[in-house]
Amino acid sequence: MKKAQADMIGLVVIVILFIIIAIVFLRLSTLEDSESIIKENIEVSNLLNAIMKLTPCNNIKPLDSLADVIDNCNNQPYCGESNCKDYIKKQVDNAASSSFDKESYSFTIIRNGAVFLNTGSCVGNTKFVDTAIMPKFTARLEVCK
Amino acid sequence: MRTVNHYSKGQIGTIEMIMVLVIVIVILVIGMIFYYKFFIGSVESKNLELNQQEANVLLASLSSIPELQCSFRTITRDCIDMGKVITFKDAVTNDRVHYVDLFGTKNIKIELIYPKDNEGECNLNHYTSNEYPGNCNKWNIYNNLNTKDRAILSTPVSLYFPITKEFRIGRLIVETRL
Repeated sequence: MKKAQADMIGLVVIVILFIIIAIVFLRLSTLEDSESIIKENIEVSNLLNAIMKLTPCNNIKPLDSLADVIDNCNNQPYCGESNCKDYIKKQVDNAASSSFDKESYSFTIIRNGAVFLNTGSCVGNTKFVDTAIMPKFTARLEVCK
Repeated sequence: MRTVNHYSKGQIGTIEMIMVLVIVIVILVIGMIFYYKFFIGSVESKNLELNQQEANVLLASLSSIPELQCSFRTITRDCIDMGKVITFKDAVTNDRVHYVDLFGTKNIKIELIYPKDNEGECNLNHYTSNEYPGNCNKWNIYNNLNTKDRAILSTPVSLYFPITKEFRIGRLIVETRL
């Protein structure tokens, strides 16, 4: 074997080693990201469940959950607000702003196939989304960073 | 007087081999040091990761243990019964060995986040007051972590107050060691 051939083989071995190291590094960094995404999704799902169960108005007995208020809302006054939609928006905004520090959010309710209510605005790229399917409507919470 | 060192080809070959061996050994030692550091670092990070995973699993499963979960006429729901939380603290005190085995070295807390009126830790006096749950917002349900270096994991949770039949939003917090 000539000296040039031996040098070539050495170079090829080094290149292969670098490629293997790069693949291992990429694989490890991808694994960490997926775990964090799963955790954030659980958080969004739990918050959506808690918002749907929330009973914010103590003046009306028996207490209505926010899901009940959304079910029965037809632009009528509710719990001191001139429109029940405004009341729902206020409660969702208060609950979301108490739960998130840096994230922005968007909350949408779809009823009878159309957007019934939309509050908040998502700013950023990374998104975690969860949807609560109720008998009469669907609520979607999207969180951005 | 001039001295001239004459090395034979064999001697030069031996010196060359010794130099190559020395360099290879130096490279191996440096490699071993780096590997050892990396190995120790990865064991430490794995330990941290496992601790946090354990805390995450606990966080996800805590709201569904019978001692805390809401149940209405035997049907369980996805929320924490705050009436049970008060008695849970006593249960932990009475059967500490069981709960230490279950939760390990951690602190578990619940914090009311919305709607919240007053801040402060809740105890039996707050619970029996007419203003409850508006008179406090923190429940320390399990304490078994003394170190200051701690990781804090939390998730939103629905809180049910059976006295007023209200649902509020809280945060379930698990503190684990770093």
